[in-house]
Amino acid sequence: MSETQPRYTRSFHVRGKDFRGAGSVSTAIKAVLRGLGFAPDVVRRAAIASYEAEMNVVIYAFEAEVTFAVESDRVEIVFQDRGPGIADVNQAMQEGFSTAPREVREMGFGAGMGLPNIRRNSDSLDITTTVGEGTRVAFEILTAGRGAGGK
Amino acid sequence: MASDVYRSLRVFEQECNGCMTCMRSCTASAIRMRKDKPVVLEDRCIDCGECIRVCARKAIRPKTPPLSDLARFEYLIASPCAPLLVQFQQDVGPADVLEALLRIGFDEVVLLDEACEAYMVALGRLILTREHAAPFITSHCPAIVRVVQTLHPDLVENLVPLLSAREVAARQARAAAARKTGLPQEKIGLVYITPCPSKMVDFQAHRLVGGSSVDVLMPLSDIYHEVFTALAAMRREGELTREGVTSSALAWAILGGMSRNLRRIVMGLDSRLPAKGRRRADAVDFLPVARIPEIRRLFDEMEKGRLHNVDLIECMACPEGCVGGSLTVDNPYVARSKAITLLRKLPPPEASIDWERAEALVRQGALDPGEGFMATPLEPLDEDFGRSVMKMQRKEELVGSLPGIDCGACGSPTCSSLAEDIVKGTARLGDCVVLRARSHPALEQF
Repeated sequence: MSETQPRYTRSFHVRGKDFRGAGSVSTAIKAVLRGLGFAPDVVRRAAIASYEAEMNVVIYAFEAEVTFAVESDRVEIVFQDRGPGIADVNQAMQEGFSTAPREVREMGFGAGMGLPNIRRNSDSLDITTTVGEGTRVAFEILTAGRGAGGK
Repeated sequence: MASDVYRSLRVFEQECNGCMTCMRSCTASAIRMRKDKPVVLEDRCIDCGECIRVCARKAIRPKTPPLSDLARFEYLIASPCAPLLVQFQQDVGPADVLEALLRIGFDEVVLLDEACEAYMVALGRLILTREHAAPFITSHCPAIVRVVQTLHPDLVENLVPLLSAREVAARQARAAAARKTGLPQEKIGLVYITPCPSKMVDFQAHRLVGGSSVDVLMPLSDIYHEVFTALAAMRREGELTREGVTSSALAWAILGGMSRNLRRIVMGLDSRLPAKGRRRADAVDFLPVARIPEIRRLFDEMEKGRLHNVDLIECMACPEGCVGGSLTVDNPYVARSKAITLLRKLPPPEASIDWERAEALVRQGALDPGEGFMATPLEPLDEDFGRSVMKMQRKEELVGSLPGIDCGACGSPTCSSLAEDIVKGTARLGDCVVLRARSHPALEQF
């Protein structure tokens, strides 16, 4: 057996409809990944994917627990929300498909790019959902080591 | 006088009373107080000059070249930053400032307008034909370049990949002067009169192939009095002309001025470029933003994948743009209003530009940025990943146990930066005066 991998973990709470607070999880994740020395590309992908997931909670759900874990070769982020669930996940993965209410769209959010953007900026994406209960969005970003020269 | 010398500035300890204003104002959290005096962390300093601006005792000053430095040259070219043109009384025109520079001993004065125009042509082409979705970030403010390289390294690809107009103008002027005078290069001195310290580092520690063409950086505030005196003599002799010069560089000195001019150049380019496969000139959008904290908040949004509708963010570290540089003399808003009055009278860039000349400069590669901009992110908490994880978690625990009032009395600007300094081994938890006071037995009875 090899030694256990060093693993950083942290959790966050996101509240639904909290548009002003939206984005703070993404910002915190970015700061941690920079402090741990990951390459700019890893930081960028994690920031975009976590921001989209955060916005999904703010727009659609009541609240979510976020777990964020980092090992030298991967970043794992899981959003477990309490909310309406997704009736048709395949449809939700289509670019431009959205069930966002009109007032949300008028604010420039809910354009149907959330889940597609998470998929585009991650190396694996797993969605499990129960209508009327909530959704778990888990994604992973592979880091290809920690970037050149520990930078 | 004893002083600590940093990248672009000096701290004069005897003149400092330890008020911590510089540390609190530092936009990059690069200052710590040690034995009640500021110490600059050079890997974090972005040379923005905010500490110079806010120090009430003027104990932090720019690194200034000794004037004897100029004695080694036989032919002196002044390259005044545009804010110098609007530092004086209303009856002084830009042409008078240039004349004053000649009277105080420069052999020639070079303006940045032509280089700015070529720059806008090159940038306009990049914008109209760009393929990537994210906006360009202007790179002519060196403090902004440093912010991106060190604090937002994932955005380096957004920096405008062009050589600054300052450098382009300096190269052209130097070559022309060598032809005119027949002097060897080392006898020709090019002096850039700068509104801020950031340009010092830009010229000194440069990525430019073959080095910079600027020899000496002269703070605007250092030369102000001499120019002022020459202008006063001109006023007495009835020689003030109030004449303007061209407007391109002047517009760049105020926030939004570059965007305004660039829009006009882009409209002009519209008829000069093939229409196929590019963006429409009337569909481009620019966003001017000043001051580093605001700019960093915007960069944070960009990093979340937002802001696709903008083509260029015009970023200026100082209030109101370069007219607010920490080495300028006049109030930034007064200087800005003078610039606006002048710009209203002067011909717009599409009237003054020599398209053939500008396009020739672009074609010849005069704006080629050499190696371009590299990301230089801050060091991680530790070289070893496992140890950096431990330090990160320790830092978060410490943040939880510190009072969170960011008083700065420990010598770090915020509780979070103290926590980071502790895990890096450059501070101790006992430095927190609030925790010390709470645990002090003599205080318990109160």
